[in-house]
Amino acid sequence: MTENRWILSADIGEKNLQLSLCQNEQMQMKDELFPLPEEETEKKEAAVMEHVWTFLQEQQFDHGKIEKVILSFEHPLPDQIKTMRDTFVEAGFSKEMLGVISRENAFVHYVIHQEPSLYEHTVLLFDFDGTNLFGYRLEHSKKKTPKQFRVEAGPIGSFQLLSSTQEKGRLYDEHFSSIARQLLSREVVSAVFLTGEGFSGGWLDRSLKVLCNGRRAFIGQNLFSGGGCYYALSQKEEKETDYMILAPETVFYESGVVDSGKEEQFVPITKAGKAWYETKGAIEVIPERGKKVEIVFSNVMTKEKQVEAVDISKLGKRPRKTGRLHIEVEFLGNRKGLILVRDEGFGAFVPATHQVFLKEFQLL
Amino acid sequence: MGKLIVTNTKIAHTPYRMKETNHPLYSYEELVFYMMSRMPLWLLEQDRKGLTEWIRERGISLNDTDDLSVSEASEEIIRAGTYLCKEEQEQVLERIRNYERIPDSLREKEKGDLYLSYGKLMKAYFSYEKAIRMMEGNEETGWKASLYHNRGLISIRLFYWEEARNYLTKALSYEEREETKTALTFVEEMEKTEWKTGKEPVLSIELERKKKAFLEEL
Repeated sequence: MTENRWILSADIGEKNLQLSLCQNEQMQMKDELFPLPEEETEKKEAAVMEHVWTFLQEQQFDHGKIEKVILSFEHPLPDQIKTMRDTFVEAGFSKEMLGVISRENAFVHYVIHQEPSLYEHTVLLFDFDGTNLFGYRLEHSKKKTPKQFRVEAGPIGSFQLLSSTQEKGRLYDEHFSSIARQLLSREVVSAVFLTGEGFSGGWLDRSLKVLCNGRRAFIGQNLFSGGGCYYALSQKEEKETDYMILAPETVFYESGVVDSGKEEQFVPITKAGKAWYETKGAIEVIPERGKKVEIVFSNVMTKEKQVEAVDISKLGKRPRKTGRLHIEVEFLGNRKGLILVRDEGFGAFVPATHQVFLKEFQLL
Repeated sequence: MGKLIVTNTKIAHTPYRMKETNHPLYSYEELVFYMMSRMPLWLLEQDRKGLTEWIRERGISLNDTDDLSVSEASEEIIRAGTYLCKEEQEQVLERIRNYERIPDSLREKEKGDLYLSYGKLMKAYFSYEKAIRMMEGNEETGWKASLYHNRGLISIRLFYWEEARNYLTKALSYEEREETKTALTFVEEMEKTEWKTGKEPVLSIELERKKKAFLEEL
């Protein structure tokens, strides 16, 4: 990334769009929050792009300087990811610059790019939109190699209050401080983060005393989009990370083939430890013989293996070692996905048929 | 488990063409396969200018082989990649080293068969003629049948029906093969329908006209 290249991160929620723009390691972020229409229609996609252009214009920013765009979602689903990716591509951003991340992962990346003392013990995040309170918990296992960051998330409760603003604030404060006290008493928590419009309004009084007792607390709206920026930076570094993030979307399986050309060595197609929507790989092989191609899935936690065989007998008979196959593995969930095998032939010896064989897989 | 060889080599947009056959090669693996399966013709590839660079562009690390002898170059090229396992590499290189020790007639027939498959009729013709001249008499009958059959095919392609009939009949005397019988039947049909060569000069105008029409019909 050259000095003048930037990262745009967009956290796409149900009601709001949070945008962050940052440059290289400086992380001097410019942020803004925009409302979104609640219905799941094309209006939402159009609104996202409109806000992106508005935001960039306000920053007097040329979108040609953007090197990476990260989209974060509360619950990344294949259709949702595809729709939003397509929207950005149609708007002029290249496919290669788009990355996707869940809020859990964004939270982790945000925290681990802060000073280490913050995540010495458990870190909690509360996300409150004014009605629903959502909680995230990050735990750091230093003793494991590689280091592990385990994140889990879930709803905590709903606040359905109809009182006046002042009274509402007092009741929120009472209710939230009680929840916080209960959660914070269970374990050592080194830091707490608060995000979401629901925490604005200045009602955090008693709650802050509970939260800040023996730990640091932070409040801000750019946690997820900021986490997206940090994620993009860590990808840019292009080195193997010395940590693994354990989140619901993490794929614990490595996929690959056994290379008989190198003394039966396992050659990976996809690696474990990334979110499923970022887990995709390809490889080219020449089968020695046989009517099937076998992909090995190896669980890096349990060491268990599962083999998925793709039947390629419809290619017909060929002389030994005269066929090149292109194999792709793509995850569509943390335990499921698709294998694609395509015939590339063998030059003038065996013309390519470009036949494609697909197989869905479900890992146990 | 079906065995697989993982390959990281790049496919060429522009193929490297073998001088003897004009066969296009798009990958390192195809080159090695060519060396194995077309060995008699590969061993004639003295002029290999540009081949080393082409192989390097495929992603294979290789010392300069363009000025080495074919057998020396073969060793460098085959050992540079993983298309062949170690055992297979030794087998192929042994075959290359010992190629000159194979009886002349066998080598010439093998060359002839390959030239025929590439449509290089004249080169195939000369190879088969040499093979026939160099026969020692102790060759397998199946091999002899194949030699005369293929020599007969050359004659068919050149419209020399009487010559073709002679070679195919000789092939059948060694082994009764359906394909030889079929070819002989075809020749006899051509002779019946006045596509004779007989003692007429091959390049007579009438024959030329008929040949052209025949080829267009094909």
